Amino acid sequence: MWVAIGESFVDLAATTCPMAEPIHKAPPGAAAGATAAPPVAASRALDGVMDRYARGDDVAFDELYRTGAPRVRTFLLRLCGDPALADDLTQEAFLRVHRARGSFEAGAAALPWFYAIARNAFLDHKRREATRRGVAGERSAVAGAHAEAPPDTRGDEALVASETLDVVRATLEQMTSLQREAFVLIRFEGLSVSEAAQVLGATEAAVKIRAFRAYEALRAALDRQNKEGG
Amino acid sequence: MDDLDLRRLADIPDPFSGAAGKAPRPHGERPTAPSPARARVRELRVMAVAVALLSQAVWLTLVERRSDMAASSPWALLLGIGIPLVAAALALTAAAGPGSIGLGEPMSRLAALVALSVAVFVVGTTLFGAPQDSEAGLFWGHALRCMAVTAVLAAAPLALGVWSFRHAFAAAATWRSALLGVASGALAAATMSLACSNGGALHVLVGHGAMMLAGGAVGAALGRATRA
Repeated sequence: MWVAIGESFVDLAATTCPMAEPIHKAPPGAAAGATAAPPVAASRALDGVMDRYARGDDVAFDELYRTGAPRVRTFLLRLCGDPALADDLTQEAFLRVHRARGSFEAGAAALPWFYAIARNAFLDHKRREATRRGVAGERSAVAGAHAEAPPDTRGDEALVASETLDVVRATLEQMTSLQREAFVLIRFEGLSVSEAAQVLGATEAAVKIRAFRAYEALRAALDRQNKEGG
Repeated sequence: MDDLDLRRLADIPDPFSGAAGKAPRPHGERPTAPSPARARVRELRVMAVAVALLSQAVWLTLVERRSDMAASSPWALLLGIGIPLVAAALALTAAAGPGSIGLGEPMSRLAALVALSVAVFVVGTTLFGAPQDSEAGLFWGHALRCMAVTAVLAAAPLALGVWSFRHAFAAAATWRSALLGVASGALAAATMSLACSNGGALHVLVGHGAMMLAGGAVGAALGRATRA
């Protein structure tokens, strides 16, 4: 189903700017250590590449993957917490992007469309895992995936994470996926509430409440950590 | 700040900031399975609508059409077709609409349009339908027969709709597929108004219109097929 396109992948963290500007709307008051959305120009460029691909330019896939996959992979990593799984789901998501390219509307925003498709891939994975293990609870499915990841696949990301970041990561894994998705899209991916609601197929009010519930859980966990740390 | 002020979210640091922008594991491959480009997808959808309409015409031509067509008021016929067709158009437009960022209409609007398309049919039929003229004992017999015929009529449009929108909905696939089902049911109800000579409002609502709801439920159940 796939053919080689060469090994031209690069670490975009080195080539892409630190994502100081949001995709469409900024989450106001970005804190230190925050990851914002990609520059508007980069986002527009991605829209253009996706538009070319939707019109039938097969060669555009290489550029689409090179520029879009890092964002999709980061989004998936934030959802599942497992780098190896995020890699696999990124491949799956881009297969789906390929399959659905004719339905990408002219003038549409590529990144939210990618996020919605990546989320579908993630949810399907969770269902398959739950069926395979006979485990209904989503929390154990996510935690299991995390636990099964070989230690070396966690890589530098885990090593550089501070204690605070570990608390955030652990709390994100423990909350419901509905809350986690809403929080990740608004806080880390820089989508507006309206855009996140469309990606998640939910109402804006529901998404706002889910994101805020996630925030409350994270805030409480960080406060507990601060108290314990003196 | 009110309780749901999302600016507070910025207090939370990103545990995966180190991973942001990193390329995923190089796959070194490009998908080769055929996938239609946008122009081809549009052609297929137009074709699907045309074949769906043709299937209704074939039914009316070869299987059955109302015997009192010539004696019926043109207005009654027009309303009988027009009301469900408006409902079908509303549902189809809502299902296929790209929305502001290409992910379809917002959920609240989708839900409202489902309700609106059903309401157009219910209110229109109630206002303009003929008074009930069936004998009470025959009502359910006639209604059940028409329900079965409407289900047969809706099957082809629904199958074509799901096929032409397969892997198309990145978000809200269940709702949008349900709207395809509502549209198919409404199209079948329009056809039934030319096939069934019973124009009683209650008969039309139950015997012809029930398939809008049933089609919506079937469409929703087929949401996996239309999800990208």
